[in-house]
Amino acid sequence: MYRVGICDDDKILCSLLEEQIQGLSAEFSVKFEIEVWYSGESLERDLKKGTKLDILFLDIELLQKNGIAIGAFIRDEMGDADTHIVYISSKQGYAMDLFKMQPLEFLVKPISAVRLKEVLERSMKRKKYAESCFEYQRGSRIFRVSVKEIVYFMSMDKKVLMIKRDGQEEFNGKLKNVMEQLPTGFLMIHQSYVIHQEYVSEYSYESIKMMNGDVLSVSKPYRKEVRAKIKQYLKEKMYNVL
Amino acid sequence: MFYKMGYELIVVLIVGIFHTALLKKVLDTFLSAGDKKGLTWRIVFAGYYLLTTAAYGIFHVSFLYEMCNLAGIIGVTCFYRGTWEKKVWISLVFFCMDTGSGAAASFVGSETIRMQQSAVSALLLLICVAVVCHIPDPKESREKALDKKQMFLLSVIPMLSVMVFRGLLYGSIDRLTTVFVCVAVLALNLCVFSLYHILLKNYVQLREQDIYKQQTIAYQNQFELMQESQNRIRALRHDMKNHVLALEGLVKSSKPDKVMEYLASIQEFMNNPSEHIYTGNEALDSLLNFKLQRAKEELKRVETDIVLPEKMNLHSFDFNVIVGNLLDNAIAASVRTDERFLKFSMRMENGILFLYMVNSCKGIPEGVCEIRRLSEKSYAGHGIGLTNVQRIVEKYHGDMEMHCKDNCMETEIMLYRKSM
Repeated sequence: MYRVGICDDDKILCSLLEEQIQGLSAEFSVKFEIEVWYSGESLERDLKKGTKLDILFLDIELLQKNGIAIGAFIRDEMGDADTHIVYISSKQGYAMDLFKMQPLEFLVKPISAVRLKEVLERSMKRKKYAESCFEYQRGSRIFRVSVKEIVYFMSMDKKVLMIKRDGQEEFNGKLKNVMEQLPTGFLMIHQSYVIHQEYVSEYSYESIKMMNGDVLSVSKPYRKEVRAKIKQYLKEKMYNVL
Repeated sequence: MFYKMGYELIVVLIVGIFHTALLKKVLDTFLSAGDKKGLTWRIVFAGYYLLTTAAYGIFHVSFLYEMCNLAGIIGVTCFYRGTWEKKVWISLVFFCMDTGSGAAASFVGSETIRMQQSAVSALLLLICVAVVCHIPDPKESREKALDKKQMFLLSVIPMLSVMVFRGLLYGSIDRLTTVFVCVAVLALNLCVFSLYHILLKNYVQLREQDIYKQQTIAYQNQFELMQESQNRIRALRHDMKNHVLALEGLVKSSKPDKVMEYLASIQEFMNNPSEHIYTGNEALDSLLNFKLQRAKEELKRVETDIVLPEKMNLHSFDFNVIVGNLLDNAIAASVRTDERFLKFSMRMENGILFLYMVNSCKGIPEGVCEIRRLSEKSYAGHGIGLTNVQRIVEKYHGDMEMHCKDNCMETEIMLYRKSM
């Protein structure tokens, strides 16, 4: 089951979108559970009550609380980085603030069936990826942690420090061995850093800023390779191609 | 005797190192090193050092040694990036300075300083190199190349100078005159060098002028677009009363389909058909609308996908060069095919600007394309090829890749926004 939210004050568009998504159910062999809100306030109320969504189609130009405010509420106040936000709008210009909400995609009304299908496919692919786990050993016990919790790894002497979304863990091991276990979204940028690209807020050639505010430097010998891998990763993320 | 030989050997070895270092300095200033590793360079220069030192040891200052030296210099330049004309020219310049200072030193030096002759010549060479490397701005001199004819004319001067030096060696002119001629010819070469620099500066200016011209046309186009939109809004406002009346009538007679139809026609009226892109970045919008307008006129299928934040400070001159050139090249290549297809996409994610372009093409071999080769074949016509795009991308630590698949050229560029 895939939980889909639609929030737009245009009722006709909402029902059309709902139909379009429901129509893709057979093709993806996934059951879509769709909820619709006509205002930002009602959506916010339900989210506060504990409604969870996998993907949210959110209008930018809502009447009172607009798409930026709702996005900020989800990302900052609720601390929810998992819900995929897809901004919908009738015009092509986008405010800089929208990009800070890490949206999955921007769609222009009327929404084309091809784009919609592509976005849903990408969303589900990424959700599936986030479900994989990482295992590590401390003493004689084996721990498992979902990769979507991991922000980055840092090596210190013979120990590896795992920085998570909430707190950190430490275990004995080598970063190279850790790296071998991890799925594609992880990247070694330094002999003592492995980052999770899902949690990058800004890349630059010499350093990478993570969403938790930590700035990690990309060491010189790694830079070209890192650049190539970032390119590959973003290309897949943005265009759903490999 | 042994003392003398040992001493001479040490001098030759040391001067050889010095000589190689000077060559490296000159080549680094005028040619781009590309992305070869440090080890490759060490091997290349060690090879040159061994070759020239051995040749000097065997032939001393003679025709054969000089040929070895010239071959060595040209050999080293092969590892650098740049057109071959420029490589030949810079090799000849260095070779001319080297021969000139060698000749001058051998005439100045009497029997007493015979042993130090190579040291004196190296010192003279150092002075020449220092002058040559300080005339131009190193960044610029590495970037551009003049055309073949100009390069040939430039190369003739050091070549003739070398002949003059050889003539002096065999001729029977008194020593003072010879030294004077040597120094004069060297100075002449340096003058030509500064002329080269002025030529280059002019070239850069011309190029920038060309880009400004393009930009002005693009701005004008954007201005016309805005005016057109304005006119439409004004016309609509003028007729608003009538529209409202018409809609009122339709609503009263409860014909919702007709109402929707009427509204759709108003919306269509408001759309400006020649405004293809709106990102909120004026400079970029005007450039893109201008180029895409041309693309839509000349091509069968044009797709765009542009998601950029508004007001993202992309006024960078370099950025316009990248986009303008890429589209020019793609349109020019695509026009020559039957499909006439172009897709242009630009996105920003996590501080990275991504450009992705696909266009139909023909006559280009499959696989990854070497940009320098393509650039030579480019049909853009105003002399600003893909090589310049690549250079700008490199300047910002970005990455550019082009590959051809099933007669489609795919171009990918990534740039870090922070460095732009």
